Amino acid sequence: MLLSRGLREKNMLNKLMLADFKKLLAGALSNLEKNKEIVNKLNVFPIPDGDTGTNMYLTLKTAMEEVGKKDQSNLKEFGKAVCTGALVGGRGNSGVILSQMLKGFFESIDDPPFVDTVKFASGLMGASKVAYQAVIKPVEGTMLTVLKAAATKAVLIAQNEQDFIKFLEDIIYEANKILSKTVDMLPELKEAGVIDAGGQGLVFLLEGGLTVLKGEEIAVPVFEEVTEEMDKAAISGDLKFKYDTVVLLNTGNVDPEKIKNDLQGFGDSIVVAASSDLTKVHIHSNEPYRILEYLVSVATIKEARIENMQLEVNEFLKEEKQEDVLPSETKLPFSIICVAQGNGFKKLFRNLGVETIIEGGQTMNPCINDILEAINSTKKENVVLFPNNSNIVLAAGEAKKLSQTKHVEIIPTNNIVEAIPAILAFNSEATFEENIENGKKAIEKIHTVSITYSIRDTKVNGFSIKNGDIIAFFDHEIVGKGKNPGKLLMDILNKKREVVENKEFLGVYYGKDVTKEDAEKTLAMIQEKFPNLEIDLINGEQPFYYYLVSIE
Amino acid sequence: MGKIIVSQNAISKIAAIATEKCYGVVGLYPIKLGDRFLYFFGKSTPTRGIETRIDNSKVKINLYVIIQGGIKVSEVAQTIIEQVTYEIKKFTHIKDVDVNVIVKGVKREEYAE
Repeated sequence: MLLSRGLREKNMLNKLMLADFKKLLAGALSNLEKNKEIVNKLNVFPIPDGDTGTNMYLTLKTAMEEVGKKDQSNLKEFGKAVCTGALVGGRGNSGVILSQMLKGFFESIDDPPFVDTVKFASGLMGASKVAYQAVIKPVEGTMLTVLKAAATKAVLIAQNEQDFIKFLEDIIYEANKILSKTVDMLPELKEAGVIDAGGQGLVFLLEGGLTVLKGEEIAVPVFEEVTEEMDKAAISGDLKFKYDTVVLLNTGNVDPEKIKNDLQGFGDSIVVAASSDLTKVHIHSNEPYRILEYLVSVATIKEARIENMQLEVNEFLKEEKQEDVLPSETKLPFSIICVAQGNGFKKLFRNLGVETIIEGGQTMNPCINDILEAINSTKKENVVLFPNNSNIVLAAGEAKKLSQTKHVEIIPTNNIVEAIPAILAFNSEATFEENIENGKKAIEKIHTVSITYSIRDTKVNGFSIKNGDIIAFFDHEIVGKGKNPGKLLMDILNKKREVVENKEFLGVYYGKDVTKEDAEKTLAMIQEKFPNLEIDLINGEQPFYYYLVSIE
Repeated sequence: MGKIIVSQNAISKIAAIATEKCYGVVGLYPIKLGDRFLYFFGKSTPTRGIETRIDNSKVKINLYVIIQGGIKVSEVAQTIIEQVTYEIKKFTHIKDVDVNVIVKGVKREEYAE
């Protein structure tokens, strides 16, 4: 009895040393990297811009890079490096909050030779205190709330729980409990039906730390090797080996080195990565079935994935070629910059005389610097900028302020289809100012309909929407949901009949997920119901939106 | 159709409430002499650090803030601009909103424990 207890205590993790902290933070970082998209998707508060996960990840990543720059000999130096890195690399709101939390934690534990659960709990409490200090009116239902609950629990149990694994498990349980309640704490979260993004990020960090302390590994999907190959291949256009094969194996007693050697004859770019229980094999070849045949003979396959890279390369080359369409020369005394997504739109803008196109739109906002560079590279002194998305309008405004050499005017288009009539309203005889006026007037009269899909369950404007539902926006309000994009578009136009019938022209831009046949069917339906309207059907090839419609 | 008029004071209040919720902001700095006087005697006006100008349908706001020390000021300021702009647009549907942040002070760090 006594012996077994002694053994248990010996194996118990009750002190964290410097090396353990390094491991803990590295694990936290990997786990967040793996799950950052989940966090991004939850982000609706304070601004629904979907970047919380990325911001937290990049903040902690810079912190860890700072740690890697020098060898620290004690916890104080380590903590200092983490805090400096997080401060300098702090990105976005959640990143800044995270940097304060790390600062509070490491300042509280100061410089002990080791950290036990009591010390760790006081560190969490310090983190919570420092994090709360930096805001006048802390909003509850955010990552601050989650940390406070976790810290309170930690202080309560630390005296009686010396084992870090159980200690952290209890804290994470508590954190998850409060996290699930955040949806009821904040009206913004409640309306969207989500839990808090930053809080979820924090839980991922704690869970990542716990996983590595348990001695388990966190598998982060690796993509680098493949993209590198793609770039090289893209230059030539023809691939020596077509099929990219990734297999997850249970190798048992077989040496991974032997597998690697045996595979040499089949293709190139061979990577065999072994972890404690699974081995990952990556190879480019022309006969993937032979690889599977061989692997089955030596090991058990858990998962296999085969991709034809030639198709991707062809697609890539095609896009490259289309990029080359030169802007048509305009007599306008100024340059036009557009933010756009979708090859159809890009081609259209080129033909309309847009000088520079910045890649971006929904889910992919260009940063201020991208816009500034585009502004500085234009040929003419005066520049008109179309942000084409409400999330980009702000960045465009900042870029305008930063630009010193050019005279920039922004026409605040919220939807890509608004830019087209605005450009058409430009007149080479008029002055720059008059043209801006004309452009702004043109977009005031336009209504837009967007048909897209939802990426999560939510509740807006009295519509309860499920993940994957097709939804319709009229201007910027959700006005309907349905199952078929074409039919939904028709319903909305009918609903807004009063508005539509007073207008003359309808521009229907169909996305890359809609076939030409389907689009033509939709067009026929609209024409039948609205015989007086002039309608244009254009292939916009935009992602995310099945249909974008401008009513002019 | 009728007209909707949102007063300067209303916009200032929305901006004040939004700013106070921003992470990293520990205070608004009173810019008007009268506000500073009241502030000195411990009476604070809610919109003390906020300058709002309305020009047709354009709104321009200057926010004079005090920020917590030891935080990346540029990120905090950027967040304030984004959050305040977002809140004003959300509540008033005014499209043209321009927010500037002037950092008037930094609060000294207090160490935990």
